[in-house]
Amino acid sequence: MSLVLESPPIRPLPAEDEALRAEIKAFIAETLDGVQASARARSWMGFDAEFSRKLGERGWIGLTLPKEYGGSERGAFARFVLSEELLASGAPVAAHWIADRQSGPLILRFGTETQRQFYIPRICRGEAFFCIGMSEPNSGSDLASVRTTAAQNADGWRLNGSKIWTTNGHRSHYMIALVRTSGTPADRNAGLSQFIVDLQAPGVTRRPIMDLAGDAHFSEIHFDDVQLGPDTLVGEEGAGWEQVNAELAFERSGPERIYSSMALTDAWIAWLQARGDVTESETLLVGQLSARLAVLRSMSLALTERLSRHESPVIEAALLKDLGTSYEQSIPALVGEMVAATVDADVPADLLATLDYVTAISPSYSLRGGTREILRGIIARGLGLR
Amino acid sequence: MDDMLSEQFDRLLTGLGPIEQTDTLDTGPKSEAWRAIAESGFLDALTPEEHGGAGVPFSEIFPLAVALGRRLTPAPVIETMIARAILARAGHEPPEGSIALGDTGETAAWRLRDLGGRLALEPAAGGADTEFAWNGSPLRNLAVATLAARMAGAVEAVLTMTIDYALIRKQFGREIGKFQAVQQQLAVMAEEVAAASAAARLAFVDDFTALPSGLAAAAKLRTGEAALLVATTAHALHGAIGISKEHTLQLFTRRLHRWRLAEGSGPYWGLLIGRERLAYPGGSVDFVRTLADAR
Repeated sequence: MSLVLESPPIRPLPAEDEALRAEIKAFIAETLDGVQASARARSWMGFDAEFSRKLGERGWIGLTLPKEYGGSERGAFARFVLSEELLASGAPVAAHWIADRQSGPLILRFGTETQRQFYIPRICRGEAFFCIGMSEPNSGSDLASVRTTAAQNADGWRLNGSKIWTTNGHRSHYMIALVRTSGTPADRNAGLSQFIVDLQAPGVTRRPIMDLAGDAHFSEIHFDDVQLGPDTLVGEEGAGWEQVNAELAFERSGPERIYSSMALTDAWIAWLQARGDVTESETLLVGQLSARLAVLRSMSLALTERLSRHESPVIEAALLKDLGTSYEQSIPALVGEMVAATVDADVPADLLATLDYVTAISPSYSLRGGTREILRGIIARGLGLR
Repeated sequence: MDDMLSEQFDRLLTGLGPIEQTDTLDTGPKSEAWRAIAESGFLDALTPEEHGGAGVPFSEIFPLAVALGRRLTPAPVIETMIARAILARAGHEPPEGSIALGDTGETAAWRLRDLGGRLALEPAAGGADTEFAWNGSPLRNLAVATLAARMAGAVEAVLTMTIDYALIRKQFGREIGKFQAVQQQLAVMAEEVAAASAAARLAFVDDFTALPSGLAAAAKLRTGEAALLVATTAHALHGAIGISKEHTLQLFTRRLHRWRLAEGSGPYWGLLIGRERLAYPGGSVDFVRTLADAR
């Protein structure tokens, strides 16, 4: 694993990228003034189309995409600063998050010129929201077993099947769906392709699924003879698996795999600061969480740098995601026990509501974007064990 | 520090003998091995050029500090580099022989102690010391930077050793490394190795005279956590053979536990960085960012 040590020393970010931070902070302070921690804890599960459009107006969606398609042509570190500030403050970024992180770059890399010109400017303006159609009723971690099919016909492709647990499926405009275009599930990775599906099209039915916190952040979607145009295939027919994997390092190495419980951490620390008389146990936990956070952030930055050099550190990204989500998930248990250790304290209702929400939702951290067991399998392969 | 120097340093460490010997290398006043280390010219790497050193930034000697852990060499090499640079800056001719920082370092000819605002250089054999003013990083911060890097190197070596073993040792008709339960444990070890490396690197600021306590704390706390998990899992996967005296695993794991507890364990540094965070008015991400950018 000397690959682990190859990460360069972490320097302060380039000044022009760091300069973005103050602007974003000012915007967030103004826009999210008075929003409670329990709402901020939703963060990239928090859907607010108006907020996304405001970001789009400022050029903060598609930050790294080319100017000719409406992007800002900024570097990976500028995007890191933007993501970090939005997530650390618990901004409701769900509406555009997937389009910004994955769909836009995917269309840029593998899409046709027509697709680029149509979709990317809309993504950048915060007008086209995307979801990712991966999981199906019988395909979760075993993604290659998807059964939804697209069959070529005179008008393009005919889509049949269903997707489930699709984040924002019922409130996005488009889905990038991974479906089978040839062969059978027994052919595994071969014969899979990616399509852009207009979710308003005839034959698409969508049903939101209530999550355990009472939100409807994901949904199930059925495709019943949905006619897709000839220009809906993204990239090559049959290359869907490779295309999906090319994006995984981006999906797994960002601050969203570290900061999901940040609203809770900061609400708790703010309460300690206001309350005073902080116990030694509380101080120690604050210190442990801070030290672990400092390390994870530096790892995320190191991977951002490698991605900016067009490397694809798939194993390291899997490794960071597992570490990051383990950290995020540990927080509600640790903070919860510490809050409840002071039985006579007057704990603010918003802190308790945040604790309640994060405790309930945190198991999802290590499911979304590849389960813990799958990630560890990828790491084991990288170690030469399989 | 370029790759060539790193390779040269690795050769120097390899030349000191197998790890059974480097682990207990005498680096006291009469040490022959130390002479070889001194002659290598590495000891003045951090000393400013105007004082006859190489003036290399502290951040660039990180790979050397890690190599000491990987080769299980507790000898106070980085500690001596730091002490010599401090002495040269203060206008004192650095003495011959190894120099430990505080109480770290196994056997050393000299010991540099932190008196708070002043440092004292004492011969290990006893005798008059040299005292001078110092307003740079507390010596303990620097000592834990070297311990953190050693732990990062040692956990990497232990991971490699354990993977190699898992690919050879057969049970139930196949290599134990082919079992998913074992693979998942090795994957977690690899995660901890990566975290230890990133954590230790946090403490390797460009200018070692200004190493913030918060960074030293993060480095020591997190490498200590990794050391515990890696040592424990490595023993679990090695089985009985790892318990035997002649197996090198136990040399590494015993060192890891000592380094993990030396110069303040996790709770010591956790309380320190915890107090800093509680005194910070903003959010946690801003706190760790400010800390990292302090370099």
